[in-house]
Amino acid sequence: MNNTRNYLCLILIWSLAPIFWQAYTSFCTPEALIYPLKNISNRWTLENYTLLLSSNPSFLRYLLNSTIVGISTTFLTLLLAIPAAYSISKIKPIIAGWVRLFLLSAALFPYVLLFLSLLEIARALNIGNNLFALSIPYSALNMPLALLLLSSSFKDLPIDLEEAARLEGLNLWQRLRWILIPLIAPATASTSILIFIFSWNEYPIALTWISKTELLTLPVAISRIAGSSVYSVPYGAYAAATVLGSIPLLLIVIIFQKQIVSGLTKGAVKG
Amino acid sequence: MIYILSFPAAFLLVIVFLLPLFRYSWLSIHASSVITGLEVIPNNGANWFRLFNDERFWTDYMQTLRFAVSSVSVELILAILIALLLNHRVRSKDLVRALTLLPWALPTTVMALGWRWIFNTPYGPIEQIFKFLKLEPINILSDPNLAWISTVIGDVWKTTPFIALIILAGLQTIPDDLYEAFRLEGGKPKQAFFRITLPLLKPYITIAVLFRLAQAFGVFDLIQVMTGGGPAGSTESVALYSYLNAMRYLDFGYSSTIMIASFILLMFACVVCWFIIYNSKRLFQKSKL
Amino acid sequence: MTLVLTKLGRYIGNSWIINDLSFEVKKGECLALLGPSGCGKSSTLRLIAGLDKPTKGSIFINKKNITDVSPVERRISMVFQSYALFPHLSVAGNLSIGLKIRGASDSEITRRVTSTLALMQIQDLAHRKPSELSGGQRQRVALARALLRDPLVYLLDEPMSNLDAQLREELRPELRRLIFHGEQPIVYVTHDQQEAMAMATKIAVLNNGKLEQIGTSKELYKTPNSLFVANFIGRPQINILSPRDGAYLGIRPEDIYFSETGISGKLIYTEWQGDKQLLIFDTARGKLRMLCNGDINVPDSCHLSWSKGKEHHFDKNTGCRINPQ
Repeated sequence: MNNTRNYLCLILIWSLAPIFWQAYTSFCTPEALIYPLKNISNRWTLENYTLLLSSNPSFLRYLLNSTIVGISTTFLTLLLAIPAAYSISKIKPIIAGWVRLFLLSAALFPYVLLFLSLLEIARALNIGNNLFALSIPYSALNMPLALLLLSSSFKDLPIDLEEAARLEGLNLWQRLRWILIPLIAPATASTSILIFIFSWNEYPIALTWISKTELLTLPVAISRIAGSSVYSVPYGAYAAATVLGSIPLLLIVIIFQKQIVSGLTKGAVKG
Repeated sequence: MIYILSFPAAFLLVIVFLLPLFRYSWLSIHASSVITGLEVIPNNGANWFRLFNDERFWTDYMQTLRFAVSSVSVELILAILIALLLNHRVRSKDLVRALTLLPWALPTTVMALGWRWIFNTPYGPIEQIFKFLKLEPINILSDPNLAWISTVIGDVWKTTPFIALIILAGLQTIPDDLYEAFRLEGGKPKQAFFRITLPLLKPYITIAVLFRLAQAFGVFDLIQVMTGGGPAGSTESVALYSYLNAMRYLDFGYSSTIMIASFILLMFACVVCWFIIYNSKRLFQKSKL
Repeated sequence: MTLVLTKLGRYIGNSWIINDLSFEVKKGECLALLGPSGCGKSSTLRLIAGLDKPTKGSIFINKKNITDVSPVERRISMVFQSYALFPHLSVAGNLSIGLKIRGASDSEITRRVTSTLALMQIQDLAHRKPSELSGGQRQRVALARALLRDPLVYLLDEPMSNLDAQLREELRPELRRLIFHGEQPIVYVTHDQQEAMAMATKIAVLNNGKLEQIGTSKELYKTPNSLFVANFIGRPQINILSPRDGAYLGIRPEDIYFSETGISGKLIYTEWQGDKQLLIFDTARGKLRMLCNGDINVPDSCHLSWSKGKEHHFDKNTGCRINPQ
């Protein structure tokens, strides 16, 4: 038992050390980074953060942009996926097998290969540089997982419930609104969290769709910072950027870990 | 008639997943680049001839395969160990699980930047530790023979939790009495792992490995931010090459050809991998126990 | 009020799961649909409720053909085997959702929900969720929801099969008190013949989607129309002796008595049931089950007999009853 605990500590160190190192770096002065073992008087600073927040546009802007994309994608995906998942849950078993296979391969597909075609669509429709438009490809990319998760949880509901509702006189819309959607709320919650995290983190499509600086999402903004001066030292401001970019996700993971775990495992198991 | 409800979602899926495949196939037999003024002109398969003779593509393909296979296998082994540990009754298990999950949730670009700083010479912590131990500094990011290992480390760090989680879910479906029955038959814990745990985990391992293999094959964010494909192209992946062709060299026809080709090669790799896992029982029995 | 089924059939896959089913349930009658699992009794209920469409035949409620009418407009109450209580709604919410959807006024909803809760004596549970109720309480809520509907027909699908034996016996009189005094015909699905006999005025025995026999429990017991009904009704099971003169001979264990003139048998099994005991004898005509007084000490070999009048005869090929001339 004691061994188990030691190993667990090892895992935690492996998982968290790189993140702590970023946090440490972000509070260091350049001198402290260059001479980590020397005894310097001005070791700690908040300057990295003030620099980041006072730049134009402020780094908070990117956080806001990612939040907008995350929320609108989650909303759009659920709007389309819930009715579709309901109808998938009613398909005959043989066809359902093929639908699931299609959804699973779409979920497995390394979507980065799609970016060129999606870029063409964005150009043709003139919807580049629009955060809300970005949620269209995002919700398509999340659709397979959302459909797999939601349709399997629709299917898990006892059929009696829906029939009792039918006998009570609820039509399709009322059954969905009053009975079925409330009952799959747990699955909806985990799906939403997964969609949000995906959209917050997505990189290649945001990179090609968004070119205006004030509309960049966080991952793209970070990579721009990284690309701006590759070998420049010190690193304090970058580290501050990574810390700021990590905090929202840190909170999400800690608050919603149950939903995340159930979403990921169900997604894999049911698929 | 309730199937109408799925039409909007299906429409979106077709536009985003199927349409590109047709578009790429079509573009791949046409010239469409700055030279043609971005006009689309048939070029009798010239893209494909170019691809077969393009040393950079095949190098990138092998590099991508090297990256995918090594990171997924390391991840799988680590993940099984972590899952076995987490499957024990541990205090504050939820917190531990949440914390190990954290790397998975962070944006790839964020931690790619972080890793660049960790591997930085001469100021990164790795370098400092080497200096402290009076070892020769290795300068991993600028060594063409070693740089790819740093990308594998970054990927392993980020995605091991995902696989571990799926395997943990698999472990939790195995009832305890199987192990008790096995013990009553005189089986040792190590035998139990190979005779019970591993066979019953196979579906979970299959899905996790296929999923991760496909994702690792399309690796882009990590490499673009961490090494930019360098040094000397030694970490460039096919996705990055295709991206550069489209966005830097503005050769859409050739970029499409690369994507279609990598898609086909990926499917091939997945089938091979599935075949290996599917037949692993026989391979396994030959080698052990 | 009446419920009539004429030549009802439902075809699924490549077989008739219900075929040529006709019966009538009159005002205030309770018909039990009895049969082994998979015989089509629940499917029949679903057809009556309108949850499934029949392939052929018609259903009439109060002489009105409702075969193509939607489930809601049929005005039917159904109690599901699983109770089908909406887990996210409170007891009151479960009762009121139908009324709300049908556009009843708030005051009417409150009045009817309160009175139904009072009738079922579950006022205290109004704000609980189904997950916070015991099995018996859930059953009451399901019944309350059915009562509130004020239907033309009640359908009950194994309403007590999820309860333990003791609770079931307690609930039987309650159930009869609440819904069996009204005008409405009741169709009661069960696989338990004890329950069917206790609850129903008439029993319909189904086998492979076909009606084997319909009648009072006494009729089914005394004059089973077929080998299947004879085997299915009555516990311990009827003795079926190997065919002679083209007919099987059936004789109930309780109709056998000891008699020096009868056939000889060797006792091979005893099961003491309190006031009674079940004995199995090995005889020249095969194994015979016999039910006799629990106090008797039975010797290992004895002679058994029965009166001619208690014999049942069934055709060797069709299994149909042959009435003695």
